[in-house]
Amino acid sequence: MSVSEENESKTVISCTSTVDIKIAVELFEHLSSAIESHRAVEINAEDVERIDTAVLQLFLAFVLEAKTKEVSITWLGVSDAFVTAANLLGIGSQLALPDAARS
Amino acid sequence: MSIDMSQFYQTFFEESFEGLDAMESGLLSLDVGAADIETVNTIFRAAHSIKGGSGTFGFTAVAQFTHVMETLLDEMRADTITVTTETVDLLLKSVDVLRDMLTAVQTETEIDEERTIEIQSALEALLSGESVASSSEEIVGTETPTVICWTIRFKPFDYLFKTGNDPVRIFQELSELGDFSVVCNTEDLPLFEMLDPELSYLSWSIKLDGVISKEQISEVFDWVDGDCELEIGTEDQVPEKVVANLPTVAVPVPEPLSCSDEKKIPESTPLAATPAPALVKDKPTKKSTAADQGSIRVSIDKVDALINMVGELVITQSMLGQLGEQIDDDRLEKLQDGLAQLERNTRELQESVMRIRMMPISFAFQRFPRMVRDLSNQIGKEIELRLQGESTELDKTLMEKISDPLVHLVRNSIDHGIETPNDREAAGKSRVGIVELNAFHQGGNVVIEISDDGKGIDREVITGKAIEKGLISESDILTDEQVFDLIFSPGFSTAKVVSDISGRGVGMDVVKRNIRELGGSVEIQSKKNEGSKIIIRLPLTLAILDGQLIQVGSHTYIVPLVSIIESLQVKESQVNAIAGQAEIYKLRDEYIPIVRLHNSFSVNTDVTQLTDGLIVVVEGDGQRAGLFVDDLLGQQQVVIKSLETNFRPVEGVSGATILGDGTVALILDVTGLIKLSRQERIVAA
Repeated sequence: MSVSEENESKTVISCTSTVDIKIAVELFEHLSSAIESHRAVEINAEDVERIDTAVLQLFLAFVLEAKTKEVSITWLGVSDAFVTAANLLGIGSQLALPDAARS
Repeated sequence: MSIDMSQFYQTFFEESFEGLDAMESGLLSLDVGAADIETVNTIFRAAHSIKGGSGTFGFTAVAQFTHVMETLLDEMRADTITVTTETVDLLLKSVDVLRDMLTAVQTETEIDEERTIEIQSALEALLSGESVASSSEEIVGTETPTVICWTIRFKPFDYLFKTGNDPVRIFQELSELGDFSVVCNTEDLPLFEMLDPELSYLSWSIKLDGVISKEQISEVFDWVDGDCELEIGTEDQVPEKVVANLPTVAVPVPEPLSCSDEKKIPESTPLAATPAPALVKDKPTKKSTAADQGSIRVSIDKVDALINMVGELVITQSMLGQLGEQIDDDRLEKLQDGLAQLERNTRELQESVMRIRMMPISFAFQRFPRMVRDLSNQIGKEIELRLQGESTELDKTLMEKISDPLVHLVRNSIDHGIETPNDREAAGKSRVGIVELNAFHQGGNVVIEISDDGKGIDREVITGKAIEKGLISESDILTDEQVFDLIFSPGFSTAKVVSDISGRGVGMDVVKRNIRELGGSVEIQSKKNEGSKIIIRLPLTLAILDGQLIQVGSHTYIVPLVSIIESLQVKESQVNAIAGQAEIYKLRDEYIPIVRLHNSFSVNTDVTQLTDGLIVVVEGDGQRAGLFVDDLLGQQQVVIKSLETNFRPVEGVSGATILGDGTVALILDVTGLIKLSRQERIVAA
C-alpha cells in the first residue's frame, strides 16, 4: 500500500498486490487524516491479488463514515480478487464499488 | 503498530512438523485395499492444516504442493481412490518433500524444486488417472445425494485477525463446498475514529446448500475453534439467536437471502494461490490426540525458569532445615514438623514441575516405522518392528539427545543383526526378522532396549578384529561383556562391506560417548544365532542429580552417585608410585590411578596422607580412578546450575549447586577429572 498523493484537496491511495492486517494501522492513519481534513480520497485497488478481512472491514468503516461526513470516495480501479473477497464477506455493495467491478 | 506475522512462524513450523509425523505414522498404518477411514481423515486433516497455515503465511510453494496432496487424500477418504502400496509410497515421498520444503522455508534456504516438481507431477498423474476411473464407477448405482440447506452464524472474537486467521479464507473454503450466500452484520462496527483496525467487529449469517456434511463445515472452522461464536444448523433448526439477529443488520443488503434465491460469489477469480483457511493455534490431531492427552505447548524457556524457581525453593527448604537443627527451645518440635511438611511439599512441587518437561518416548520412537520400512526395502530384508512402552516419559532434552544414537543402533540391528530372509530360513528361523524397541522406568532411570532376533554378535570375530587392531593381545582373556564392549571402541567395525547404512565403525564409540555424556550407560547382551540386545540406561532428567557430598579441606564437592563404584580406606601397602610422581592403587586385580583432589583444585588441607583420608573409586568413560578426599559427607539430590552460563567452563567440573548453608559446591566431572589427572601425570613424567 502506498499513498501516491496527499495534498490539501485529495489523498490517493494505491494498493499493492497484498493488502492485509500488516498495513491496517498505516492505512487507518491516512484515511483518518483524510476524514478529519475533509479531503477527497481516491483508491486504486486494481493490482490487489490478496486482501484480508481486516483491510476490507477498514474500508467498509471508512466508506460508512465518509458518507456521514460527506467525504468523496472514488475507486480508481478494483481488481477481481478485491471484489471476490468483498462479496465473500457480504460487503461488496456497501463498499460502493464501481458498477463494472460489482457486476 | 502492525502485526508481525513472523511471531507465529515457530508455532506453525512446530505444528506442521508434528502434522507431518502424524501423516507419516498414519500412512504407515494404512491397510492397503481396506484403509481405515478415520486414519485417512487424520492424514487429510494434517495436510489440510499445513496447507492452511502455509497459505496464511504466504509460503505459496508449500501451500500449492500440499493442495495436490490434500486433493488426493480427499479422494481417498471419499473412497474414489483405492489405497494401494504405490499410493502410500507416493504419499510417503510427498511427506518427505513437504518436510524438506518446510525446513527450507524455516531455515531460509532454497527448496529443491526439481524433486518437488517430480513428486507433485506424480501426485497429479495419479489423481487424474484414478479420478476419471472412479468417477465413472461412481455414477453406476449411486443414490441421489440429499441437498442440505445449512445455516451458519459466525461471530469472531475481536482478536481473531491477530491470530493469523482470516474470514475471507474461511468463506472461500465454505464457498467451495456448495452454494454460498452471506449477510454481514455490521452493528458492532464502531465509528471510524473509534475503530481499532486490527480488531474484528463484523459477524456473519451464512447459508450454504449442497451435499455437505456438518463435519465438512466444522472442519473449515477448525482453525478458529475457541476464537469465535459459531452456530451451525439446518434451515429448519436455525437457533433462535441467529434468527433474531438477522433483522438487526445495520446496513441494508440488496437482495434477501433464501436457499433458492441467493447472492452468488463470482467464480471467475480464485482467491490468490493460497486457497486454504488460516491456521495458527489448531493442529490436525487436536481432537483425537492432543485433547485426549490434555497436552499444552509450553516454551522451554518458561519451563526452565519454573524449574529454576523450584530449585531455589529446594535451597530455601534446605537452609530452613539447617536452621531448625540449631534452634533449641520449646517450639523446636513444631518447627521440625513444619519443615518436614515443607520438604514434602517442595518435593511434590519439584516432581510436578519436572513432569512438564517430560515427553512420552513415542516422540523418539515414531520415526522408526518409516525408517525400518525404507531400510528393509533398500537391503531386501523382511523386518517387523515392535514398539513397547511408548508412553514411558523422558526429559525433553534427553529425548532430543538420545534420538540420533537410537537411530544408529536400530540401523545397526537391521544391517548387521538381522539376516537375509534366505539365511534366516536356512537357520531355521522365520523369514521375517524382529527388531524391538522397548522403554520402561526402572529405579529412577529410563531404560531403552533395542533387541533383534538376528545372528547375534560373534565373539570370535570381535576378538579377532580387536587383536588385529591392537586393542587387545592374543593372551588376554575377556568376559563376554568385555568383548561386546570392544564394539564401542573408536574405529571398530567388523562389517565385511562398508554400507551407507552402517559399518563405517565411526558410530558406536560416538553412541557410547553421547550416552555417557547424558549421565547414562550402555550395555550389550548377545547370543550367537539368537540375537542381540542393547540396553541403554538414562537418568530421568538432566536438571537434578543424585550426588555424594565429599570434603576436601574447607570445601565441599559433589560426585555424581552414578559415577561412584565404591569408597574405601587406603592401605598403604597397596599404593605404588610410578615415575616418582603418579600414584596407583591396587584395587583387587586392577590398578587405578589416584587423583588427589586437593592437588587438582589447589585446596589447602591437613589431610595429605593417603591413610588419613578416603578413596572414592569412580568410573568415567570406561576408565576408573580413585579420588582422594578428606571425608565423605551426606548424599543428596542437587539442582544443577550451569557453570558455563553463570561463570565459565572449568575443566574437571560439570556444574555447581547451592547447598543448604548457602555455599556453592562444585559438581565433579569424573571423566574430565580422570583425563585431567592423566595429562598432569604425562607432564610430570
